[in-house]
Amino acid sequence: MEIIRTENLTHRYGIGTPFEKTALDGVNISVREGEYVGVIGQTGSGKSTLISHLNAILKPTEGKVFVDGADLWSENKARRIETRFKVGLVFQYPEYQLFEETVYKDIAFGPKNMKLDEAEIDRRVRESLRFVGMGEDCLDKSPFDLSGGQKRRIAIAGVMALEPKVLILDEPAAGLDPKGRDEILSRIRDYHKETGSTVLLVSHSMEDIANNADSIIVMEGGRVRMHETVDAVFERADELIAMGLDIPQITKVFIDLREKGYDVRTDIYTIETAKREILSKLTGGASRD
Amino acid sequence: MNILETHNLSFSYPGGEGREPVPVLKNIDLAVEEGSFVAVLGHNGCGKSTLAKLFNGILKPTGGTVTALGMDTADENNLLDIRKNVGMVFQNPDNQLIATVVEEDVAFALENLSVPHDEMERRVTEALEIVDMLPFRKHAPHRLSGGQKQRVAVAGILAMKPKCIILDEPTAMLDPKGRREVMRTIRRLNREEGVTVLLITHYMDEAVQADRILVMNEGKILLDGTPREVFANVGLLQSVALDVPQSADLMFALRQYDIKVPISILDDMECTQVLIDLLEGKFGDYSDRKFDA
Repeated sequence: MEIIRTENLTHRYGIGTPFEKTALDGVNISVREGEYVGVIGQTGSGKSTLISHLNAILKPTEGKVFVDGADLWSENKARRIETRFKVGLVFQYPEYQLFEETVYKDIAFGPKNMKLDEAEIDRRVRESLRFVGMGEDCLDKSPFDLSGGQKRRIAIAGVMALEPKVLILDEPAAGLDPKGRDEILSRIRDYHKETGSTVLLVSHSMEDIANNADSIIVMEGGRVRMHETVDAVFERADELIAMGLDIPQITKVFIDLREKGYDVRTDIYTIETAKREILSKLTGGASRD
Repeated sequence: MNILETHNLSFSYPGGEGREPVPVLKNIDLAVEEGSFVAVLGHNGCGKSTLAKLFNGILKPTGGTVTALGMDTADENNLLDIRKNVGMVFQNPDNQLIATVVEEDVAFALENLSVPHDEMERRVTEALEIVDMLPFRKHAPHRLSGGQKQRVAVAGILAMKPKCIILDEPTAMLDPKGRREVMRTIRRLNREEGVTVLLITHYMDEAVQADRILVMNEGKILLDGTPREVFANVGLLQSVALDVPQSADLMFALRQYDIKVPISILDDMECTQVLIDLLEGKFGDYSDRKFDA
């Protein structure tokens, strides 16, 4: 079932000023419920503008956005609000948005605004905390006493507590070390598996996206250039490089091998698949075509 | 000549009321040669940034000594000279620019040092030229991209004509294009301008560009060597939660099957060549082996 659809979505900033810029240009995407989608593209390609439309932070200049079949800008106000709660958006560096006195209050802020009862809020706070891998002993602490990585996890928990059907994260691993990055990404992966919700992950790291997502949306100059499975996108590595995107080193090596006449797969972006491919070629004999 | 040196350096942050101090660096002996390009790797909390701040006297050692250009950082009288010669660039580009025009930002330190106007003009132009930002000298910093802002921050340091520049994760908040721009600038500074570079980073592809890599773990130096030497220790690096370049990782994975490929391969061209040699049988015949991958 389709959870997100955009029709000819266009957004122009600064209309009528010398700085007018078309940030999104006729974007049509369709995302299935439960899909894990990676969104990639250079800075200025329209990624952030696109996701800001998905929970109505920005209003389209032209075109429409549908979530769960309902128009985000429908005339019916009650329906509009209900639809917007279905999409949770985690901004870049979300730890800067923490503001409450305790971790508990901060995570509970969203559910409270949804006018849920105390027991339900409590359940959601504890469950979200578990999703991000933090112990309940931090609930009474000030969020400002936590480490950077922990703060970020609390901020993500605050959005998870809305129990959105679609969770969108803008560069959730930016600025973290490899350990912190793996931790956050594996938590999001578990959350996706356990809740069956739809996840959109915006990232500059092709490796992170390749290791997590089912499909990839590639943006360039305000347009969607590709929206395909991870394997299909990586097969077009030349185009990705031409767009200034970084592809994993190992993918480059296998493309290079293929160009030099070796019969190897080129949809390789992890060490595990690279190793298997080489081992199978060694026992099958290297064949040149 | 060594431009930065530590002798038996230890550092602890005060623990707050009634609490024990928190040890961060433990008995470090280190020397950085003038003109070299050194990368420092290690996960968050290993003491990398603390080490950087000790080198230009932002922090003072709690044990042992730190010298920059032969001057002890613990002596207040040396600080101005040290800071003129050991410049720092931090992670967040938005926290480092203060003026409303690029050239004024680059000139900021020079004004504080009372450099004469003509000299200041010349140095600002030269610094912006090195970081490829001269066409932007009259622009407003807040309208620049992250990579451009970082290069302006680097120019602000360069204008002081430092002997050494320390960069603490300068590309962590940048996109791939911005990262490439900043790395190009850093290599140029080192190779063409002869500035000593100490680069703290989480990115392995950046670290392999250095002459020497220091890997820190729990306040100590775990590994110290050329990129090739350091990334030969794939197992050890992964055990302290650090990445290795994918090509080195693949070699390590193949060697687990007793396949005799070289230990440490860093760039993709080299990796392709090793795999070709392997497939052509130069590292032995594996055709009758059973691999349970």
